[in-house]
Amino acid sequence: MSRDPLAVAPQTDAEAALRRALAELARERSLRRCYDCGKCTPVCPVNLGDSLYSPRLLGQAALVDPGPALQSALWDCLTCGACREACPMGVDFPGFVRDARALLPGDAVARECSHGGALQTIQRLTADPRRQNRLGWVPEGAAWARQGATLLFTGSAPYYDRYFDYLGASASAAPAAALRIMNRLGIAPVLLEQERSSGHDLLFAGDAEGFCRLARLNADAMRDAGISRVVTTCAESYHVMAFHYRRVVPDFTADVEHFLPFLERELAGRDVEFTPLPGRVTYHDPCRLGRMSGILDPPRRLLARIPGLEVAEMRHNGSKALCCGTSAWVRCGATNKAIQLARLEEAAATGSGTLATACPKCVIHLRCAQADLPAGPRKSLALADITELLAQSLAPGTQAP
Amino acid sequence: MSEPRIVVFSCQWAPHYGFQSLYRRGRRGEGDGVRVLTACVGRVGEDLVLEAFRRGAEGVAVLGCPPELCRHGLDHERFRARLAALRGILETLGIPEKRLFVGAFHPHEAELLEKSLGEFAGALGAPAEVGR
Repeated sequence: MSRDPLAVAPQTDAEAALRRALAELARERSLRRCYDCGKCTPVCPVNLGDSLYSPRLLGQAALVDPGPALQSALWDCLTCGACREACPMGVDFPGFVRDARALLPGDAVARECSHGGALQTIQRLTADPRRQNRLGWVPEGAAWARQGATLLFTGSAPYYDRYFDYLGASASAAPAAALRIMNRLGIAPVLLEQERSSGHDLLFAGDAEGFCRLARLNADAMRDAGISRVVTTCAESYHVMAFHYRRVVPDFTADVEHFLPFLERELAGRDVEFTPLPGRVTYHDPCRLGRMSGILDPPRRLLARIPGLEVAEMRHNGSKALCCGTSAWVRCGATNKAIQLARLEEAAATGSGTLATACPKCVIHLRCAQADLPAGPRKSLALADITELLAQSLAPGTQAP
Repeated sequence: MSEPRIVVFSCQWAPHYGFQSLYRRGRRGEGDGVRVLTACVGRVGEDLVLEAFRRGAEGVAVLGCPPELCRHGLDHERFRARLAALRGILETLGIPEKRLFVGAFHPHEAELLEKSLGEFAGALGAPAEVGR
């Protein structure tokens, strides 16, 4: 029997239940507060590459008819928080998107993961009990411990080094730089051989169960090692450990700090010399660290302490910074590339030779965008983690204490 | 049904012909495991291999055609190009190198195919020890 292509497919019970759950979540997340001012749309980076994309209209659809179109559009959102920042009513559209993805069926989630879902799979595999070999990045002669109070958390960095070797982007360069600086300050942090991925990408890609598993395992490993303070150079690991771990692991009591505020505090009252680094740099705020965690000034204050280094701001900076174009390794396509190229353009326009950031994924995404560019200012821009620059200035040729 | 011991990603051309030869003769390689036919091993990326391990495979084999027999131009090179990265990821995860077998077989190399898979399966050891 032929099928009429214009016939509306009947909803199954499962589809109807999903729509009800999404609409209920939208109400719970106060999407009804929206009064149609439209401020969210022009600040949304996705709208840069797709002029029809609007958090406002999607929020309305979520309340009225969260059908397949809305369910698909959930994956376009970068959860960067720009719309929430602009919203005068405090509508948390990114939070709705994050939790709505977890309601979608597993096959829909798997379909939307970039790189065939390999990066999420790696993170799930780190939950297995087998012994990882994850400390290959530790510089020879560095001082570190297996037990102690302060953990330097590296998350998925050793895996990104392997996976993105073709881009020449080293995600573990930042923790290696942090370790050098900590050693210079007389600190030998704990490095966990059985650390797991933080779970950020699973949480934001709709695998709430996988996130909970990783959070639980990390919390247990930290407790067993006597950790009371977690320091990380990864913006996303910081964000989920500081703001989401206690939601799912109530007995997780360690203090979580990003490395940059930690370093600022450690430097206070110490007479530590910064070696000059001549040049101009621009700082890209990772969404998870800046807009979503409020850590905007420490990176700028630290850069300002490096003699000879001029800091130039991009057009969108601080809490209004443009996202690097992709998050949680989901749905990376032409729109995302357009955002990345726009960000590189803003950075190149500052006349800087280096774009510094505080998130390994921002470096990876922007370097990926550079790979397709012809020679020019956007292509020649050096990309680095701010901790690498700080290590060059604070700990050149560091010896272990 | 018990969990598969080995997942075999096999190109539908040369190695598949080898499997057919074995089956026609009533033989079944000990290490055949769950066989996934692909248009070309160029379609097999690290994502599929990692997912197989995540789902509990104790070993994964990726079988392609010799380069001169590839029906898809240079497609067979796509998997090889990512092989070093994949091995690095597996090593970091603590999955021993012996749990991934990569080979290329002519259609007439059915016996060699069977022998190679048998040796691969045999080298994996007792399931409880695999990957620990």
